[in-house]
Amino acid sequence: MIRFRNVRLAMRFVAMMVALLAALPAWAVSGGQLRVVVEDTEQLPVPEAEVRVSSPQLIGGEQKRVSDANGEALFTELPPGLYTIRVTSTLGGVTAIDVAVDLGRTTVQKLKVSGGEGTEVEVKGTRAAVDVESTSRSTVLTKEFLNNVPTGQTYQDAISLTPGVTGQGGNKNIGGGATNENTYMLDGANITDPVTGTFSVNFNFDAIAQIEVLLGGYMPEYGTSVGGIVNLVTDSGSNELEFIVSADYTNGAWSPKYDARYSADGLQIAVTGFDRQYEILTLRSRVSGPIVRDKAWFILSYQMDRSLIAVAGVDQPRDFEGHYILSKLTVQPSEDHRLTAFVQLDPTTIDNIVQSAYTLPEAQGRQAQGGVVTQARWQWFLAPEVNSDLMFVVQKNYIEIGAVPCTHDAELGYHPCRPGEQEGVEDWETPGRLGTGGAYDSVNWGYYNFDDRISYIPQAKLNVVGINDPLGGSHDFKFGIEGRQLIWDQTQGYSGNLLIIDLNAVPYDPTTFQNYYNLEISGPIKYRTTGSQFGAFAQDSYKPVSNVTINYGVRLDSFVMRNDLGEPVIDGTLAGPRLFAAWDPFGDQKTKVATGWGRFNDTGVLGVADFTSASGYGSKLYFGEFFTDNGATGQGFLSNSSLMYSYDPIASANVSSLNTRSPRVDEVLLLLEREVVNDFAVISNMAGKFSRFMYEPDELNVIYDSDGSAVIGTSYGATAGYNVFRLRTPLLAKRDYFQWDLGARKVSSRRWQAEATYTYTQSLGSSTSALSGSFVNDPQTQYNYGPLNTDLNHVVKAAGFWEIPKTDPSTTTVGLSAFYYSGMPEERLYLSEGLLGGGTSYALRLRPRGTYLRFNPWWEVNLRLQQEIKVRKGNLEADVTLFNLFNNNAATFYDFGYIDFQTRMLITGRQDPLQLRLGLRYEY
Amino acid sequence: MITAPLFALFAACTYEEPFQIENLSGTVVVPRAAATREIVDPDGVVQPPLTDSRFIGPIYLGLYASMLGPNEVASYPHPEVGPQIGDVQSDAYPYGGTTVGDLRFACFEALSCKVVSDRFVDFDDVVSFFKDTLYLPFEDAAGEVVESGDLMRHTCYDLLEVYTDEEVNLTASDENEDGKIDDLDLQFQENADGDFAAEFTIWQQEMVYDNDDVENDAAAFSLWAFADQPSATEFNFVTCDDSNGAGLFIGEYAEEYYGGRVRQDVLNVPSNYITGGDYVASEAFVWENADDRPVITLDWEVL
Repeated sequence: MIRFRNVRLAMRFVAMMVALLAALPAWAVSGGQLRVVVEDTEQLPVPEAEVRVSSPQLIGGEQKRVSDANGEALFTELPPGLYTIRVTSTLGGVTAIDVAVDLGRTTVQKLKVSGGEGTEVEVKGTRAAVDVESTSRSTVLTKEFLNNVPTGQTYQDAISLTPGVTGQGGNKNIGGGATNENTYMLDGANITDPVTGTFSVNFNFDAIAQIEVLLGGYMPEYGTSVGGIVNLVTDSGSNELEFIVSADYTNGAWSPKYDARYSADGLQIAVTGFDRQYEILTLRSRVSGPIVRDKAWFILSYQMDRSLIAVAGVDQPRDFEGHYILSKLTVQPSEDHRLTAFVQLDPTTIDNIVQSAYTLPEAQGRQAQGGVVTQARWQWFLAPEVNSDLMFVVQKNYIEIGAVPCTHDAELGYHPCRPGEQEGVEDWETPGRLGTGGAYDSVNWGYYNFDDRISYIPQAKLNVVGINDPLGGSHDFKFGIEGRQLIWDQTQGYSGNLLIIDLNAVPYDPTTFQNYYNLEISGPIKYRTTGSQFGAFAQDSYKPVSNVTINYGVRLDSFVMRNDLGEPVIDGTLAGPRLFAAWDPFGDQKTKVATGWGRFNDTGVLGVADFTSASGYGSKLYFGEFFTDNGATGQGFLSNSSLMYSYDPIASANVSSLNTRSPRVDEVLLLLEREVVNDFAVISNMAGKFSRFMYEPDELNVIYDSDGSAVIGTSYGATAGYNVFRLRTPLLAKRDYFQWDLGARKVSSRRWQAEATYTYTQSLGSSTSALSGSFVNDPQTQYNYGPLNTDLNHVVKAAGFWEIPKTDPSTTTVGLSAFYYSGMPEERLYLSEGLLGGGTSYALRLRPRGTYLRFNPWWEVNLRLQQEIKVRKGNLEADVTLFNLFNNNAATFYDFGYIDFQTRMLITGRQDPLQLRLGLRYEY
Repeated sequence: MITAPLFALFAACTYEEPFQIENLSGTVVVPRAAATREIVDPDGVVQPPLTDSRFIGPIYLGLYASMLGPNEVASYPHPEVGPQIGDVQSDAYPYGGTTVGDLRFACFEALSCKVVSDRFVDFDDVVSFFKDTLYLPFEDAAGEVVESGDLMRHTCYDLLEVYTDEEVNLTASDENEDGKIDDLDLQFQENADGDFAAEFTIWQQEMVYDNDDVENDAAAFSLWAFADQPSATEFNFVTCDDSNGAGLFIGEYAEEYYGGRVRQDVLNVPSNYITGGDYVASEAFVWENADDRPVITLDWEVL
């Protein structure tokens, strides 16, 4: 039981509990724990020893505890970093230096005292190769590791180093989840995009202290996710004034080039590498230090990312320019209180967002995006065993899409201004023209969207740790509650309320260019979608004996997501119990056997609720010249091209089932880890994740033939030429994922660190992500279940660095990373006929999902070399990185399209080429 | 305190959607007479009656509110239809349905609206059936009579941009998994009575129950079916719209013709498409249990 030192403390505890309940508090996992075990030479516990810890990262100065009857002293909510432990006892004293505390981990440091009172021994601390108390499947990427191995300088890229993380682009598949099923946390707050479930912030890389990537097995305090969790924790500064500036320039155009590949009849099926553009410039600066020593620290960070990347054959590069500005103030006015204020902005513009050879400069679009994250946090260290964490976060993101502003700079080659047109004008009036069959997108971008997403997040957490159990052992209790109020505002429309569609009647033959059809579209629309999420958790890490940890707890989540009419489309109250246990069979901190089960729930995103929003466009479809007698290759059954062929009403016919439930994942795991020699562990981690009740619509109106390729009737009457979709959570919408990691880990010591893992995965299912459409064509149900894109059977990841021991400290560091991915399953899809008169047609399968073929495997090796350069003051470091050292060019994405459009297996994505990154970093 | 999470967990385990969705399977039986024809050869000689499952047209199975016997609406058993209001056709408002054998574009203009899937073993079978059995040889785009299945296969592969017979989706696949594709893999197989039977499945059908028959818990819909039999001379199917379909998308290969496609209101207004020589079911089946596997017999020949 908690024993309060006095009544006043007890009163404060009660007051705090009341405050927690009243203030709608929440949780955060933004630190680590340190358990110091003081022993004598007989390995018997030493109680009443004074244990003090300090670190450059620890604001408030040295922390002090007295070891309990088990010789243990527990320090919680420590910022990640290297710590010094000083133990003083009647049996002697000992100092351990460089003891690593990592995010979400409990470092157990055993220290022996001997020699009698007044003696002092200094030992080198270690980073445990095996965390014997953790039951999560997770990886912590430390700043040291990220600064030395070759990896992209974004958190989205860096997490690729983690086993079980696959996929391309900024949103990865984590632990078999979809790209929009991850949760992103920043200093303990959920900053996941409330609409899409994807990442929402580009972030200052230099300000990140550690990244924790969780695939499963994690405790309720981490929140909800049916994918993985990416937990970012930022630096706070230190008592030293520090200034860091760095510049990186990456060029992929210097690499050897490949010729294009053509089919027998001359179609380019794999693009040439000769005319592609690949340049990235990153500038970073950071200043941090004390305002008041040990009391108030600050960090200011600015990063600019500029990239010009064009796929081969496209003249206008995707022009990305982002500015990330971060400021954080941490104040610890007394031992008991720590206050943090945090603001981060990431305004960004992306020009030429369509990377297609069939888009002319004047038809290119710009996406302006970014937002602001503000956080205010109060950590109250009521007693060594009790602390609370109150936080309030407001986040606003925006995405604005329109035409690329015109320019008179012909050399730039971007959207050219018309004669007399003012520089930088965006044309909101002229309709855009979209091409198909190889016809160009032309004239104007033609579409605009202003999208604001706002989250209000109050949260609070109460930690009561190191509580002795009357029956033996100790408990670390944690409780928390969280609220998340979400708003999504959209304003969108089409320039001139018209969209013109052109085509080459013979695909890719420009001599057969014709106007295909025209859509007259209703005016701009503006609407709001809202949602609320409330969660609470209780969990305990119970150690009945010193070598067994039982992690158990439960989350309760209640949520509602509403459409633009305010109707609750998805809602629910969900329980997410977890029960995991870890056993250190030899009690030597070198072996872990962990197993357990947990349920992880999905509390929805606004994008799913929007499925039944009423706001939308009405349109009238008019045939173009392709359908008239005049066209050379036209179909010739219409003599009047102005004839209106069909119309779509504005009202959405989509409905929601009255009793959807929430998607959930049940996970079972078996983790085996053993430190076989000092600092070197071998690993065998197995997990099965079973996802059920994914959000999927079915179709209520249309009746299909035996394989779903043609319509033979409609339930709502023969004249009802429209589809009626119904949002459901059917049991058949599921995923079965199995992952087995076999690997070795060498923690950082003796100048090197490395990790290598072979991962076998099997991922079968019928729903790739929410609203994938797998169930809209009833007969296709027979082919729905099969290998998914995460079914990469064999993946190898290895990364490490070595400080070349020429001098002490080393001045040269070599980093290496290597990846191998076996090919992912690929589908061939065919076109079903759909409803005549405006209905939806579908991608049709003739065999089970994912069984048509597999991509070829692809691999790459990356090398990084850093050399310290002597300067009079500070540290200057040169950094040379070669990505994709062997310039491998394997396809990473194919596009089959539909069979009726002359499908070819066009390779639309390849490995990034050999890139050279040159960097300079100065620290003072 | 602990009740709420336990209840939520238990509720999650027992979750059911507020509707019942089932795959409804059964057997459709077509009388031997429907698969028997007397072919007139090019010399005008009537050949002896020939029984062959290739003569069976597409079967349309629909789930309807109820079935009526012959009356002023139709001279054969048929689904109950709604009232005709003005020009709006009387509609049977089907709950669901499926087919046994689908109308397919068979890669030649001459075969538009003449070929049903899973009636032929391979492309040679298609060619010989039209040429040697029906005496209706068909020509390619150059006006040459198609003599071999290989030419048909190559034409289909070229036209449809596919690489396997499976993708053409016209001929049989190894349904019985005996390692070879033969007559035993065709959809319709002769049964002990000399009739022809085929399996069907109505995928993901939402079950609807009749409020007046709660005790028996019978479905509110009845299964009824008809066979669209090919025309006597051209071997065409009425349910096929030859002014629509695949040709629209073929692009450079399109030569002012369409491949044909099934009409989209076949189940809504079946009487528009049922003509003399077609077969309909005289008795409908009502599911009392989703596991029932009915046998529906198209025993009524429309005159």
